[in-house]
Amino acid sequence: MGIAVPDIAEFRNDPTGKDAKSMNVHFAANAARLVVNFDDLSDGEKCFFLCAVVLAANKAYGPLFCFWDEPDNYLSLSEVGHFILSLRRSFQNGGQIIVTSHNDEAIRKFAEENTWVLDRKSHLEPTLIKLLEDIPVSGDLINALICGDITL
Amino acid sequence: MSVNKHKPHLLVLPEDDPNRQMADGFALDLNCNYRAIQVLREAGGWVKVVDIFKSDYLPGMRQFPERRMVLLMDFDGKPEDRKSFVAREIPEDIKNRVFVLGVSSEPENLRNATDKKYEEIGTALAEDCAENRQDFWMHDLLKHNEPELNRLIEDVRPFLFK
Repeated sequence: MGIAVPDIAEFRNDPTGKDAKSMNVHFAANAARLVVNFDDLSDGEKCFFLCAVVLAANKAYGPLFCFWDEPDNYLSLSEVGHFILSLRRSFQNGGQIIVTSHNDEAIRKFAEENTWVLDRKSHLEPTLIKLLEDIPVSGDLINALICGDITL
Repeated sequence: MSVNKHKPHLLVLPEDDPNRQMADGFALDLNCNYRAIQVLREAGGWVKVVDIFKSDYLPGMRQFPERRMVLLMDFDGKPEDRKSFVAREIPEDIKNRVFVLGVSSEPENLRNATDKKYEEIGTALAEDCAENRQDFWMHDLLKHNEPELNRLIEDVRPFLFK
């Protein structure tokens, strides 16, 4: 979390009182401090917090199984790749993570043998699933996805 | 956090998806400082690697002196000819920060010869670098990279490997 948000100092619950369960985020840099309620963080910052929790939990009391639906949502483009890589690296030695994504940068951080393509013709038909390496893709994968050329 | 452009970092411009998967596998190795490496979008051919490098990345290379780039391409059986061609396209003022690497034929051949997935190949190459050896890099399809690899490792080891 500190790498992604360098000025973060700590997360803290108010110690007592009616807001005791309210989490505040303390930022600090160059002797300046700022306290922001967790609810007021941006969605992207909340995702970084979640990511930090997942990484710490997998390290501290893993192996975990983690299913994360579109973890790349709300992240800036420059963050997506490293965000996904940090998750994948954390789960290399134990646990398992499955993520879904429509984000081309996130999709590019996986390989053909660990990417499944899901497709559904309509709400009345079952969702089909196939490993990417078993699907013939001519040319650029992302362009093929954009054009809707990959169907199962 | 994205790479810090004011600190030493490495951009990798892959020719195609197999090369991209190898580069990402390299960054997945736990010895690699993955926050100092950014794998870019596939160029779509070795000629396009050179074209995109010149059109999109030359200004940034000059603006950010801590930036290094790897042009990752297939050599299609003629590595020396291709390396000579690409070398002529790289301006002298940034030549020491640009590296041209790749499989001497195609990544598919390396995958079949080693029975490894592309990501696994990248990770194996990173492990070699981290442990200061060149076992995998000395594969028949990769050993032509040795002079360029030595130049690269000397330059990036301080920030890319623990």
